[in-house]
Amino acid sequence: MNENASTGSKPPVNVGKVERMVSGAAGAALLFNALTGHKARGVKAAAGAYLLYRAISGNCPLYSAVGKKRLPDPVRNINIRSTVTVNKPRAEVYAFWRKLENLPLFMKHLSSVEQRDEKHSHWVAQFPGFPSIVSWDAEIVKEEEGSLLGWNSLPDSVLDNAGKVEFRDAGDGETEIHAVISYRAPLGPAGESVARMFTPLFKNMLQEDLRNFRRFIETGELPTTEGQPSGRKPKKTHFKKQSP
Amino acid sequence: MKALCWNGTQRIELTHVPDPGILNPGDVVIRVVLSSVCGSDLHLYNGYVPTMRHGDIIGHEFAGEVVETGPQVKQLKKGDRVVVCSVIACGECHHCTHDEYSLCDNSNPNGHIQEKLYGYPTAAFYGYSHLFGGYAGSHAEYIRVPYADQGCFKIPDGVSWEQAVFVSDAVPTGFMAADMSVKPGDVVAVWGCGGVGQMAIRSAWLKGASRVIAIDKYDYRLAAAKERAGAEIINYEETDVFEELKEMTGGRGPDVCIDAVGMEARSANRFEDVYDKVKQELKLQTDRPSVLREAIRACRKGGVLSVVGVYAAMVDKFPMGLLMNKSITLKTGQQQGQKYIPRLLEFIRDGQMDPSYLLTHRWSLEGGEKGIKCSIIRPINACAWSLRPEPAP
Repeated sequence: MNENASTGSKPPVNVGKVERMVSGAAGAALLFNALTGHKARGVKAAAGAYLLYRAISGNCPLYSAVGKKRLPDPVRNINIRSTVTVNKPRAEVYAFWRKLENLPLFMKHLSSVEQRDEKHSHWVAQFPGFPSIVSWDAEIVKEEEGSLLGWNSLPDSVLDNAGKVEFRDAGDGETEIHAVISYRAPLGPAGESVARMFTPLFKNMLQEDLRNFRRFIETGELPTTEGQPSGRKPKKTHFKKQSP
Repeated sequence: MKALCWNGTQRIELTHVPDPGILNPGDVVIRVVLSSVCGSDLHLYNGYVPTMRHGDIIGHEFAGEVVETGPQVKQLKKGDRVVVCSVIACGECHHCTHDEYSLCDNSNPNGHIQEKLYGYPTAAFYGYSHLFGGYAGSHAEYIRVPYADQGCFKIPDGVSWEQAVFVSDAVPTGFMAADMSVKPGDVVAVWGCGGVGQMAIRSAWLKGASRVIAIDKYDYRLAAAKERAGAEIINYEETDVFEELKEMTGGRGPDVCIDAVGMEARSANRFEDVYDKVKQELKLQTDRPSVLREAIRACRKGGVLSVVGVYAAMVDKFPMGLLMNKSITLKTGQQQGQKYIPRLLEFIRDGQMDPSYLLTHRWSLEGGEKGIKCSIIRPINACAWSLRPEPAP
C-alpha cells in the first residue's frame, strides 16, 4: 500500500502542522498587504510567497539547509473499500480485470488505460467537478496470478494513489472481488480534511464501478435509460425507429 | 409516437414523445398491440409510489410485435408476436441463474438509489418509478425492451393477444402466489379478486387445492371469481371475514392465505380503514396493511401466508407476534415471470387456463387516459382493461 511521504522527488516535509498553519496565515496577510499597500511591496510579496510555499508544500528550504530532517508525515492516506460477487469463475474474472485496457468499459470516470509494458500503465480520467482530465502513471507492484493485483502510482503523479484487488472463490463458480483504493490528498492536512469530506462520494463511485464490472462481465452491457423517450423536454439525441 | 405520461398525482396525459430506439446490443423495439392497466398503475396514479418524475411513460403489462432488434439479440426477429415479462432481468447474474428473476442484480440502472432503502437492489420494471429503474413503460405505441432474449416470449399459435397480454404480469404473479404456498389438498383463501387474485384462484386449483375461497367487496369481481375461476366467495363488506373463514373451515382456518391486494388495502373495520388511510396520506407509512393483519389472524396455525400484492416500503401495526406464535410461514416476492411464462403459455394453449376474461374494457390510447381515471372511480364493471394503441401509419 501507499507509504506516507514516499512520493519520490517531492521535497521532504520538515515544517510542523501548527507552523504550517501560521505560515499560511502570515504569508496570505503579507501578500494581501503587498498587493494593497504602498511600502516595501516587493519585499512583502517575496516573504509572503515564501511563507505560503512552506505552508502548502510543508518544506522549508532554510530548514533543509541547516539540516533539519523529514518530519513524520501528518497526512494520512484515505482508504476506500468495496466488494461485489460476480457470477463468473475466478480465472475469467481475473483475466478480464488484468487486461487493464478493459477497465474503462465499466469504470465510468476512466477515459482510457494504456498498458505500456507488463508492469507499467498510463491512466486518463475525467472526474465530475474537475475542469480538466487527470492522468497518471501506475505500476503493478504485486501480482498473484488469479487472486491478487496491487498497484501504486508512480512518483510525481497528480493523483497519488495505490490499491489492490483481491479475487476469491465464492460458491459455485462465482468470484468475490474485494477492492481497496488508497490515495493521498494534495495540499497537506488541509487538503486531507477537504478530501475526507468527499470520501462518501468516492466510495459510491467505487461501488458503482464494481457493480458495473459485474454487469459488464455477466451480460456484456450496462443497463441504461439514457436516450429513451419521455414526456419531458428532450436532452439527448432521439433514436429513430425503422417503420415496421 | 403517442404515450400516456404520468404528470403528477392523478394526472395522466396523452403526450407526443420521441420514438424509442435500440440503446444496448441486447435490446429490441416492440410495437405494442395490447397494454393492460394493472393495479400497480393505480398505485402510481394515486401517487403512492415514490421517485416518479413528471413525463414518465407508465404501463408494464403488454404484448406486441418485434419491429427492430439489437445486434446481440439471438432468439427474436422482426415480426415475432411476443408477450414481455413486466420484470426486467438480465438472465446471467446469480439470481437470474437461480430462477429468481425479480431479484436480478444487473437490470436496475438506479440500483444504487434502491440500495439505500432496501439494502440491496432488485430487478427493474417497465414504467414503475425511478427506484425500479426508470424504464419507459408500455402505454405507448412502441417500447424498447432490454435483455430481449430473456424478457420476450413468443406467443404460441392458438393463443390470442387477449390471452397473451396477461401472461406479462397478472398470470405469473397469481401463479407464483400459489406455486410458492399451495400443496395438494390445501384450503386456500385469496384476498383481492382483480387480475392477480383471479389467476391465483385458478393456479391454486392447478396446484391441487381442495377448496378456494375468494374475498373482495365488488360483486362483479366476486361473480367472476365464482363463475370463471370456481371459487367460493366472501364479500367483506357484508360478512365478517374471520368468522366466516373459521366457519367454512371447521374452525381450523385456511392452510394458505394469499394477499393479492397490497398497499392500497381497504378494511371493513371503519376505524382501521381511516387509521391506515390517514397515516398513509401523512406519509407516516407508505402502505396500508389491513389485508395482512386480517390474513395473519385468519390463517390456520402453521399455515402459509403468500404475499404478491405490491408494497413499497413501510407498514405500521404489523402483527408480528401473531405471525411468530402461530408458526406462520411468510412467502413473498415480485413475480419470477421468466421462470413461469413458458409453462403458463402452454397451460393456456392446452386450455387449462384462460385469462382473456380479465379484459373487460378496451380503450384506444386516447381513451386510455379516461380509462385509468374511470378505474379509480370504480363504477365500471371491470377487472382489467387494455389500451390498444393505433397501428403505426
